[in-house]
Amino acid sequence: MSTVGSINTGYCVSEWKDLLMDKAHRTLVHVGLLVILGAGLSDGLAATQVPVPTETVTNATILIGEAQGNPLMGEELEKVTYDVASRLRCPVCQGLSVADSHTDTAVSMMNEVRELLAAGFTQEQSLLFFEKSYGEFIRLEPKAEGFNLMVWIVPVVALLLGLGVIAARLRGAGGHSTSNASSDEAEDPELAEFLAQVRRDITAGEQNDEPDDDEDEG
Amino acid sequence: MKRWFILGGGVILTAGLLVFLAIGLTNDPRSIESPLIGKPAPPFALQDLKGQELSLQDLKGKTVLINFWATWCVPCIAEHEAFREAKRMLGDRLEMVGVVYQDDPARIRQLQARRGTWGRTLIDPGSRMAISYGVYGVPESYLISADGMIIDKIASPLMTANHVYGWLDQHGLLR
Repeated sequence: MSTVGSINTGYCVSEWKDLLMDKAHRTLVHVGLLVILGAGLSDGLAATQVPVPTETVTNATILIGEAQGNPLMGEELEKVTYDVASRLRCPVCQGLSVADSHTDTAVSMMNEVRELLAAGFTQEQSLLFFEKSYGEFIRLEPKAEGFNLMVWIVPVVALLLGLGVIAARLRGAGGHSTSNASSDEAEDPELAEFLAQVRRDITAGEQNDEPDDDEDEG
Repeated sequence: MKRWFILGGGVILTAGLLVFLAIGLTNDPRSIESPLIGKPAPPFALQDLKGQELSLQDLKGKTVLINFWATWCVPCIAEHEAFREAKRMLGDRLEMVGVVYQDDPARIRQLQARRGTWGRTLIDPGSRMAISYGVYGVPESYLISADGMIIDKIASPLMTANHVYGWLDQHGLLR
């Protein structure tokens, strides 16, 4: 038996030790369970809470309407952010995209693109958001609509026209000299007579040049 | 006959291209029209150099000139004196607000200690406000009506107080 002061506790020392260890053990287990429960609760709460929209998202909703896509996250978010930023012109650089520029403005624009995509705005909506402030010039590629279609169509049409002209010229070149000769001869009878004699001489010469089998045998 | 047809077609095509190019040459390559003109001014709420917040809502009911500038921008420094003079000329008829663009607040304070001020100076972290206003570079100035609509934008320095006065007068804001 052990005593505390003059009070008989009814326990011996070793039993106290076991009792204390048991209590400490149980306390630790209880605390651990509480921590796990708390973590689970907070995760659950976070999942059910609506994320607070950033200022960019709020402004975008006012300018271009509600998000029309699915919120992106992780690697896909980064990839699509880079793709969209590659299609935006850096306002303070010459000919660089937002993705390629390291200016503060470009970095901020890229962050805004990321926020919009994470909030569920589509790629086209993200581009439109900046177009509302900067105009169409902020896009590195003009939209293929209206007058801009000339940029896409005219070079192809010009190339096809050029190829057509070349083909027509090549096709006509073969009969061109013959038709010219015929017309010249019709206009000049003396020339026609002279050319006819030349053709007869050429033909006779070709016949004389042919090998004679009888001469070889003799 | 065929040759005349081909020649005529080539002349027409070339003439069309020349007209197209001539129209393009009449455009100023340095000016990019702002899509915000005639639209509500994008909202903002920024702190000034003293840490006090100023928002677009606070400016409702006043004609506002918002100027994006920086100490590293030489035309902006030249514009500084014009704005001080304009402030003296126009008084309460115009609320002038400067927004610092990609600059160090300490340098802004040094410059204002030397050259004085002409309005509240707002710090724009990450140039978010500049992006929402479509700022391509500095200096750029925006004129906002009392009901919060963007009336005009100038993407070049306003070199004298008369330029500022004339800009307001052009839009009938001094009557």
